[in-house]
Amino acid sequence: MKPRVLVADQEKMSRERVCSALVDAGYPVLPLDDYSQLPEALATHPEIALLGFAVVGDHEVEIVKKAVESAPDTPIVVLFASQVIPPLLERELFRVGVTDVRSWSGDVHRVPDLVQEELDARRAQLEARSSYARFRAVGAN
Amino acid sequence: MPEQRILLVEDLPRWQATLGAPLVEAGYAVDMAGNLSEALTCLDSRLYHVAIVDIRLDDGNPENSDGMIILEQLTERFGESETVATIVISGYPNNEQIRQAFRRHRVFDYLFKREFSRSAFLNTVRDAFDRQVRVNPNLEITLAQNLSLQELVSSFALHGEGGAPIQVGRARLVLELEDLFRRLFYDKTRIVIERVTAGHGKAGVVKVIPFSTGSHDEPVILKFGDYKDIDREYRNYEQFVKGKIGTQSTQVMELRRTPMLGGIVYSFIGAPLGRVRDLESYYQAHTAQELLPILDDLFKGTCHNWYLDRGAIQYVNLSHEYSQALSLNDQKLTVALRDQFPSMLEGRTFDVPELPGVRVPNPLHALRGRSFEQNSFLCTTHGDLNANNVFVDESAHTWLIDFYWTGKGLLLRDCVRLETVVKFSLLQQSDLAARYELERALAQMERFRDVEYLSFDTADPALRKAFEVCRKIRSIARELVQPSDDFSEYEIGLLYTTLNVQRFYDLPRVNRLHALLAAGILCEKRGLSHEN
Repeated sequence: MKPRVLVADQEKMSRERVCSALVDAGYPVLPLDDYSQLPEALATHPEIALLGFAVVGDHEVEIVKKAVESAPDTPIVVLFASQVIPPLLERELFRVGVTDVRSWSGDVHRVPDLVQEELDARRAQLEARSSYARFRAVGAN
Repeated sequence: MPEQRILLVEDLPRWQATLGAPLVEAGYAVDMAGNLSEALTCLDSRLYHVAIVDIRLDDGNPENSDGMIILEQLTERFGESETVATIVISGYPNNEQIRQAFRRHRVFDYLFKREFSRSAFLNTVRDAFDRQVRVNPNLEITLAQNLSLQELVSSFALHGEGGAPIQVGRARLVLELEDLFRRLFYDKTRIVIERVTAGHGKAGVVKVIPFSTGSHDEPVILKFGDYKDIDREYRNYEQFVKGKIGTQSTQVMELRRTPMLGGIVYSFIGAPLGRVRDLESYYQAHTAQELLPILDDLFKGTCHNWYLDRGAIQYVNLSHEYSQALSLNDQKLTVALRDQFPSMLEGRTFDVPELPGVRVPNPLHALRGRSFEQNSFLCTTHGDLNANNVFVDESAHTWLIDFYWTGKGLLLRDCVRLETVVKFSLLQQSDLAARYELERALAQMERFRDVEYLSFDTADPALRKAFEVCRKIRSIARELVQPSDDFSEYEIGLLYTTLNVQRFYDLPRVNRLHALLAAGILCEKRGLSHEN
């Protein structure tokens, strides 16, 4: 059984294309069309969350920030359909704690690979989480 | 006040001034590096809390991204630890570099020069100190009992990833140790550091009394040393100790590191540490009768769960297990014996000049090329049960620290180790002949049941105490292996562990001679000599 993916995107066409590509690749998908319901959807513990945006401004960054705060252990990837992501915006998204910022740039069939990459990277990071992360972890508690 | 140290890597003089001046005015100690090479030299030679790194370090070359190499270096040295907070500042930000900086290198922040603001920049640096580095420059450090930081680092042995020794100047180690204290006790106003053990290993152990605005908190035990060793100890704690040993479970309260050193803070929850002492001082201050219940508590209480979970009996190469566990080999023994006992490297027998007429097999020679295999149990063991790693509280309960060697091992390993500690470290007796008699008395055992009849006629209280304690340890070992009555595994373990005593260079010569004699007697008893 492949891991469950939360796909949140208010743009119907983008959301359906991404969901469809993931379902075709065997992923159970939880689609969401309303960002305000993100905390509740994240509370169901998907393995990864994809947040799709057509345009991003301060409001969207705030949405992402709240999502990260509500599920700090869930990898959250911001997905753009467009090719170009302004560096300033990308920086803001990383600042609020997203795992990655990616573009699928029209080729929706890249999305399953992208999800797999993120999950692999996450797993490797957790497995390799040796001294260095631990030196932070205990103190933080 | 100790410095909050920043490395600023920036090639353009104008930006060096724009970034450097406010930092200096804010009280930070700033080193400037204008290129990759200078930056790496600084990182090699000095301690920093924050690194501020420009990505393009040759403004005339759009292809230059030497700052990314510095991020690689910082990641390689410090991984995801909070040791050095990295802030990137770039005049030419691009998506991939931002992504790499945050994802791969976990930078604290990424600033764009075009949006530079002095106040925002200083806020970011302050945040990096407060939220990531968490070093307390105002911590008042008091060293009690004539301790000094120089003394605390005097026996440090640092090593690289492959184990090769690293030479580090004393001044740098002192600086790092003080920095480590300031990180470990970030939220305290003052700490008082006291000696807790007399032992000198490659790491240090002290008692620390922390103070928060006037009142003092419960004292804690702090172990510090090479951060890689402290990391291994913490990993073992997580795997084998936390929630897995008896009710007297030592707890890790804090774990921090500097570029070279690591520190782990232990607390004995429920036991007032002010009245806890290590087994060494407890042993010297108490009678054998008072010590025997301590041993019961140690092996049947504190360590009980480890020994209980032993699995099925299996065929084991004891020689291999002990050599591995003690990190002992012929070459290391040769080095250990070369200075004080060079004759041991050649002869087949050991004639002790101090004891005319006493001749035993040379254990080094007798063991060469031999391998002992038999059925045994494997379970978790402490692995280094010495008198500085066991603490006794005022209720006569025992507590453990130092889990560097903790892991799967032979069931009797801890008993064997403690017997050697009693005879060769704790026993205060300068008469080799008296020690020889003790060894002869202990060698009377053939089977475990013989422990009931083991006797030693001596008027010397120190020898009497050592004998009684060793007999008690053997009784406990007997209970651990019951219904087996086979004493040979204990003896073989004792042989290897006793030989390993030669590597404790700070022991007096008479103690090391005693250990050589003891190993020789064990060889003789087991029929291991040059003839067979």
